[in-house]
Amino acid sequence: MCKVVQRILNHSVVIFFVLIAFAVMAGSVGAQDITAVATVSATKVELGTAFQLTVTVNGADAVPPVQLPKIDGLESRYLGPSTRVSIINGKMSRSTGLMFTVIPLKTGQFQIPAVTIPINGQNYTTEAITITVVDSGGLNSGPANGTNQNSASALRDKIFIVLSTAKREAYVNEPMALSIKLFMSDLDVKNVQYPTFEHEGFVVDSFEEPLRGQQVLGGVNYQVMEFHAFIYPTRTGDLTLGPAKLAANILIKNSRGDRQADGFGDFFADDIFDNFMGRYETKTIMVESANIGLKISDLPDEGKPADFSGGVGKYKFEMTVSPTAVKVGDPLTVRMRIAGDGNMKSVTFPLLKGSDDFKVYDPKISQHDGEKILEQVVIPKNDRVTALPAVGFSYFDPTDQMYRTVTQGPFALTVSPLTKGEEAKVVGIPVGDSVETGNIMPEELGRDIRFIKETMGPLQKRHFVLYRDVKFILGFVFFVLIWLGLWLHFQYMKRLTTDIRLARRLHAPRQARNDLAVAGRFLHEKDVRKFYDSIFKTLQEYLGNKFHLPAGAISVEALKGYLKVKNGQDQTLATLHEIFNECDLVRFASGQVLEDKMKSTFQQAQEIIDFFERNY
Amino acid sequence: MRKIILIFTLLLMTIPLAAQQELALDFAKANLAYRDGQYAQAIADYERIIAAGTESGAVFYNLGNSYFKNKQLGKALVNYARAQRLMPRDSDLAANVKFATAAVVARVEPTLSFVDKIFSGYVCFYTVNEMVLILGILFGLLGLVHLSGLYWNWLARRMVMTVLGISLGFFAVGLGVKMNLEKAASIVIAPTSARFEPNEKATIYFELSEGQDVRIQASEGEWLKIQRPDRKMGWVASAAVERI
Repeated sequence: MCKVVQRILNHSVVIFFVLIAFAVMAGSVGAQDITAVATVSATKVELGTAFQLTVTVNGADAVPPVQLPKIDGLESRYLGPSTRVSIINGKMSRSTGLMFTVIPLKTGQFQIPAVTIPINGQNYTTEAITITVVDSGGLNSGPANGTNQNSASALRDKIFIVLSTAKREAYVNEPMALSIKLFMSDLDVKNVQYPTFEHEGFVVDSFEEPLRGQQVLGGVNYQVMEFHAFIYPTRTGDLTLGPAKLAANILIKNSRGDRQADGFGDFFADDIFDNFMGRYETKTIMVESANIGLKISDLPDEGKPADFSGGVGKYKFEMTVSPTAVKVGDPLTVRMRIAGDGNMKSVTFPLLKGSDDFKVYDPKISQHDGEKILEQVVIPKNDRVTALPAVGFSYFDPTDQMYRTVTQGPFALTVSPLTKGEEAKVVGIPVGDSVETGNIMPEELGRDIRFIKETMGPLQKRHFVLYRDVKFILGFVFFVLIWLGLWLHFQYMKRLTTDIRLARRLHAPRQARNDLAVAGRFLHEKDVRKFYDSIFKTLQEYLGNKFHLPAGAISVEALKGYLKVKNGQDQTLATLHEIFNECDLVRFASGQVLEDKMKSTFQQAQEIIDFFERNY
Repeated sequence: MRKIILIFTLLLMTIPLAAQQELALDFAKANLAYRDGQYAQAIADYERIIAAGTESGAVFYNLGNSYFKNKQLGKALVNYARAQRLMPRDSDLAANVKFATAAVVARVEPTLSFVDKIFSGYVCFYTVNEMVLILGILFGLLGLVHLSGLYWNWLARRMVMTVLGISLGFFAVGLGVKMNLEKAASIVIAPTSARFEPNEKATIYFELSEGQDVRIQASEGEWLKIQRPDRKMGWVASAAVERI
């Protein structure tokens, strides 16, 4: 029993708090601004086709019904109210729509006048809306071209983009907010691409994530995607921005699947609105905005500070120094931060110059979104330093059209001297050469290019390249040939030492030539015995070498067996046989031989050697 | 080694002495004009030496200085780059290039890959002609060691040949990389816009500052297709870009 009571109590507490929350939210509804907007479902309609007019009141608890005034050519009927309550982030909003059906009774242009709604003793008025009524079928019938134009025009009313900038006049480098709005009405739009646009003479930041919302334009309620970016003019004069282009896919009904469209014309050439019973099809379209003209002026010279940083916009400048108590030669870190809405790339930091009191190192600069940070090491050179001087950052404020200078510092410092024997910690500065403390050299480094060369150096032909030079190429080829030649010679010599058959064969004619010369000498001396000895030995050794046979085994019969004898060779071998017999006769039988016969034998021996050189 | 390279190079690209004396006179005149602060005159004099069909690292260096002093940053960097091709180890030139490059507004820096870093060290240390000569010498040494190995069988020859072969390959690849880098290298000599197509009405893709280094990829009429070090490509008017 107690548990049941407890549960009821718990539920009551929950319900109580929920009611309280709704009461608070209801109170907040009453507190919000009340607005009234009139929208129509179409601004161009056919005769006899009803369209809807909605008067939406946002932020009001109770909205009384209103009557539309009589409009000649239009007949209206009040359908009733519809209420929508939404809670976003704990904030409740309420909108009430008063809906009317309007039927056009004749063609022409009609104006639905402003509607006034009295709420809590105050009147809220909508804007007038112009409606164009055309003949029945006038929106999607008639000749093909007319249909295309009408349909393209209808689509342009449903989806278009508008390029705009926050202002039309600016200074060079001044940040300008750029907006490209995509308006969509009564269309299923998907895969919206980021827009592109002509921006000669401007530097453009990347686009942020697009914002989504609604906007009423000419009585039509549009879904809006808004792309934001900042642009910075880089030139003076009258510049043109745009046109902007944006690609997107739209979902349409279509009964044929083979249609293709590249733009509005092709898209409507397919007459897609004729058949609403077809299936859905995705079409890619490109929408294009008008361009806009901008007048860009140079920054005024009047009042321009000498240390102007180049920044145009609104900036914050902060500076810190740490540590503030150091010894002579110890490094201090100076940090500067510039943040603002201007073009950070064009902003330069104020320069910290070295002096008799300070040595300054090159700064390290980094840049992030909307801010630039500098870190620089500064070293006090003596203990008389009491402060780091003030630093000013100058920029141009385009809103007030004047230069501004933000100053930071001076920063108080306590610099104590080095104790005896203590060394400066500065890297790269010679110890023991200082002016003040015996440790640090005063140094001021200027910056510029180095001087010209006094001598011309080695001159060469313009565009001379070694690998195209004939002398170089010939030298290279010569070297390669020498290399190749020596290698081939080595290979040849190597073969001679390993291949005895070849060595004997190649040696045979040279030796035969020498031996014949000896025989010739004996012929000249008419020494018959020695001549025939020499002839016999020459032929035997020649043939032995030539056919890689032992010299003692050389005979006509042996050669006949060794060689495959042909007709011509048979004659040669017969001559050889004859010479061998003649030699044997003289050598062993002491036969008498005439000088003419010796000459003939010498001649025949030469011919035999020539014959074998030619044929084997 | 450097002396040998210099002697070989000089032998191969000798210019007649009389012509050299005349050019040296022009060079001295140009230097005088520079000293007097007449940078336009100095530019004209140095350009005349180059128009005569000759070149030297010092002429390009001085011409770069003259352009820099004459507030023509892009042209200055073009001539410094040409000087670097002829005297890549000159410290004055390196300092001036660094100083002038720092003056380029919103310069897009190249991002070097690991391989690029390995090669850029020695590729930038030598000129193309020096690398060709070194390759020739390495090739010659390789040949000599090979031949000596045929006739005298010394033990370390295989190791020496391996070292020479690797060096030869390394320099050959380096030479290829260097020639490829130098082939299309260009510098923007006037601020311009890079567009998506080669015509004035095409959409602008990005802006190019004077002095920005780019690579030429293609050309069409009066337009050049260029690539920025961050690999973004666009079409620019050919008058705005000068080949190194």
